[in-house]
Amino acid sequence: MAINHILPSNVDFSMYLGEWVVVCDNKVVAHNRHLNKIEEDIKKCKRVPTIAKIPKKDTLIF
Amino acid sequence: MSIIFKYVHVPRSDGTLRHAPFIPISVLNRFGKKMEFIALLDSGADTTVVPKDFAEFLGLKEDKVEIDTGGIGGSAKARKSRLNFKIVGNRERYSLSVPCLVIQDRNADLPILLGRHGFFEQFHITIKQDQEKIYLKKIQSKKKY
Repeated sequence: MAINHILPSNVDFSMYLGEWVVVCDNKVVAHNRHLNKIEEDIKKCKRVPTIAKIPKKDTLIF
Repeated sequence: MSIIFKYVHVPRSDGTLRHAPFIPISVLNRFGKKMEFIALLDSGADTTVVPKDFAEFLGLKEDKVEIDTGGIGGSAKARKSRLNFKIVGNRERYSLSVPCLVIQDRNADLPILLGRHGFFEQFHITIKQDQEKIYLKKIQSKKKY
């Protein structure tokens, strides 16, 4: 069965702590603390972008 | 048939990596553009919880009434809503609509948390920590949440 890899393993996300990160074609194309500020960058993605929030804190459990 | 996802490695502030069961959810934003967001499978959460800016970005309709919600991480004001998304594998895709809570604090440092209600009832979920894999097998059921 095929395994789905969600985010590229060759990207260092540690510089984006506390930010929303947009990945398109295995590259980070935008990042910002506020999601609405990267909306234009998301619109420009020709493929379906993958967006992740990189938390600042180690743990947050609800 | 199961959909298999590999763990995501999320950096911590001390430079080490947290290996955690995040999965992609496919959504449409308020303008109809398709995108994937990474959500953390949280079997300890009763309900799916989303940040305010994510809810606004998708154009989710929120209840007018604010409620208190909380857990081990503390308490927060939230509004009830509903999140529509798809889980997409190589050969399968499933549309889901789950209740969610929108955290009102814009400064809350919060990923999207996929809680049990409405999601865990839909799949047999196997997490193989040693292999860093998540298996989702759809349960054939007509029950709606």
